[in-house]
Amino acid sequence: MHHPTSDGPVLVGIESLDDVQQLARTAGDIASLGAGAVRLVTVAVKQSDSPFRVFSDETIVNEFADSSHELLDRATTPADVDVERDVLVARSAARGLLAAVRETDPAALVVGWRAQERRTDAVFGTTVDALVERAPCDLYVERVGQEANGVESVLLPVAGGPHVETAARAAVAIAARNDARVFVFSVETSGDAAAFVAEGREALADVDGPEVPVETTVRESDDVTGAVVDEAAAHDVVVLGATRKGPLRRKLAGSVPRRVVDRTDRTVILARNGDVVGGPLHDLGRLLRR
Amino acid sequence: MTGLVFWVLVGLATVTSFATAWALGANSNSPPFAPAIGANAVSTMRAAFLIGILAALGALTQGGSISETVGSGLIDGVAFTSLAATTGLLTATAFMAFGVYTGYPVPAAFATTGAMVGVGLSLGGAPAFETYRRIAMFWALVPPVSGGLAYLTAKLLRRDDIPETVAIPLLASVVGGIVANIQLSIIPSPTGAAQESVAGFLSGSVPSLTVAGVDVVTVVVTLLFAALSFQFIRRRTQASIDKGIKTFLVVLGSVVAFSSGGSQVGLATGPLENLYRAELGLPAIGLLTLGATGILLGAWMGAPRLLQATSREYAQLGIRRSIAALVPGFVIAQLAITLGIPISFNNIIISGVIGGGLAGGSAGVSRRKIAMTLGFWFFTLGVSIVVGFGLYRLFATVLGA
Repeated sequence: MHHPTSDGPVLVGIESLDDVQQLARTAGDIASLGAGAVRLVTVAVKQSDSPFRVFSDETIVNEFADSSHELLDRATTPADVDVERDVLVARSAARGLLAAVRETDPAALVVGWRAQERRTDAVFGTTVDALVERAPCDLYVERVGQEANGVESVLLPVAGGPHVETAARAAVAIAARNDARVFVFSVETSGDAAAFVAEGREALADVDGPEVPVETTVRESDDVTGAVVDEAAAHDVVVLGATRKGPLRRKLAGSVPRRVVDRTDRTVILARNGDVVGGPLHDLGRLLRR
Repeated sequence: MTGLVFWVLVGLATVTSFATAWALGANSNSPPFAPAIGANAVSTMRAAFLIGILAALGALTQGGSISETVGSGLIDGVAFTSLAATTGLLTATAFMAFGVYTGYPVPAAFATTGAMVGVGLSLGGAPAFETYRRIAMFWALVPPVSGGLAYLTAKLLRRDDIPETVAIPLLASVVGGIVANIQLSIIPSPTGAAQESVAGFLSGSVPSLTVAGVDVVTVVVTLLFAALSFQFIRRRTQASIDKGIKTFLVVLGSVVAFSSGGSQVGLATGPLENLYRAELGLPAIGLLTLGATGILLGAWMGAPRLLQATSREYAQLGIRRSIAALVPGFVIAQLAITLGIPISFNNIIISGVIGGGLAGGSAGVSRRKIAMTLGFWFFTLGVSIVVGFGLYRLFATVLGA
């Protein structure tokens, strides 16, 4: 199946200066597969109790969003990446980014995620969770803070599901720009691993972009998370597909990816296919959870 | 009703009231000091500390009047039982939580007032139309008056022919004059009222002297306060305009934070008035202490985060417009306390920010957003009445009360 890609830009949601360089690089890699540029987006959040919320978006962007402008202005991006910058106004970061996705029909959305001390109910933090659940485009969540210093190999763990294609795109994009190899990896638990790996290989070949060297590995283990974590140590970047689509958000954001992120110090990118968002059942679920 | 159920409800009502006070302390107290932080007159942590103390003091000394209105002024003929108080508080809290979760503007004053009216009617009480009329009039007047005062203040500060060494002290004198007249429950009243002002206390303590119906001593004390305030800020601005303005911002922030505490605590404690005072026989100060503690802790724990987020916005608003928004905030909050009318402090500040903007030409507001904000105010008020009414009926049926 060939993935219909948008010619729109790759959007990057920026919340902190520390994340810009890393996220812009990943976005640049992904954008190089298509025609689009990279657009850095910050959201000027005006909450319900802010007296400033009654101003028009235009006024807020012009007069009351200094910190957002400052963030964008100071954002240094890789020299070879073409970058646009944009400030949006919304009641929350997630709402702002979702509106940006609806308006621009981007090729993908890239956001950062930072491990937090505080324990919350959310799997990856409320903003990322909302995007994973609702952003109708391919979404990449990159753990920021740990960036690979030079990439020689990209690990692509696979176990079927709808997100393989999306993960494969990022793997090819990153490998191509770094002259790196992609390792397709699967853990044998129920006899499907060989099929999963073949599917992953096919997904990589299907990506509309340069050829990259691909290798495959299957390992037998009862502990999927542990096996992926062990394997990750031998690579620079791990691109994980979100787990299978489930009726609950928790399932979608996935417990295996969440545990892998916790236990490895590699650069980890979670990939989620935009096609899983939408459909009447999904909308109903969304309505009930509101 | 059995004793156990009664005490469980008392406990639940107390916890909800405390939580409401906590939320009010954390959320509605950031505007007073945000401009001062934005102007680097005070640090965020020190501001949060001051806000907690001042708002709690305001709640203790000025909270009684609005608390009484919420607790007994909205419904005639019945007193709020423990179940009714709990239901009213839970309804109001649910609305506020809805606002926080969805990001829609849901003013606490509207949610609490609506919920208490709904529950009271459900209890079989009669609507207190006279109170509603007064509250409605006050609410309707808040935007034009707050906006108008902010407009005038901003105009005054923008005039080139009035130097800041005159304009700022002039505003300080107005604030000082009002401070002399604010109602405090700690000041013993010579006439036996529950609350009294400094000016009222002094005028009641000396032989009465009225000219044309105006109490001379009150006027003299007020003018004295105004003159002292003028002189104090005048000296500071003359030494350094920048320092003078910063001092005024901190002083203004302090009195606004104090007023904010006094005007908001009643929303948390009002529903418990009858339960605590009539049924449990506790003094009024006991209930206000509960609310003040909640506000104090809420401000200390919640305000720093919010202050950090909002101080930048006020810094961009500029000192003149910030002052222009805070002056009406103080005046109207004190007026509401004097009249015992529950108000949403944020609504006053919104109108002030817009009014101050109009003084500089265009306010740059979005009609759609204002319409949505107004819509949610009405929605909150209307639906909280219905929900309060229905919820009490449901609880009463389930508990067989």
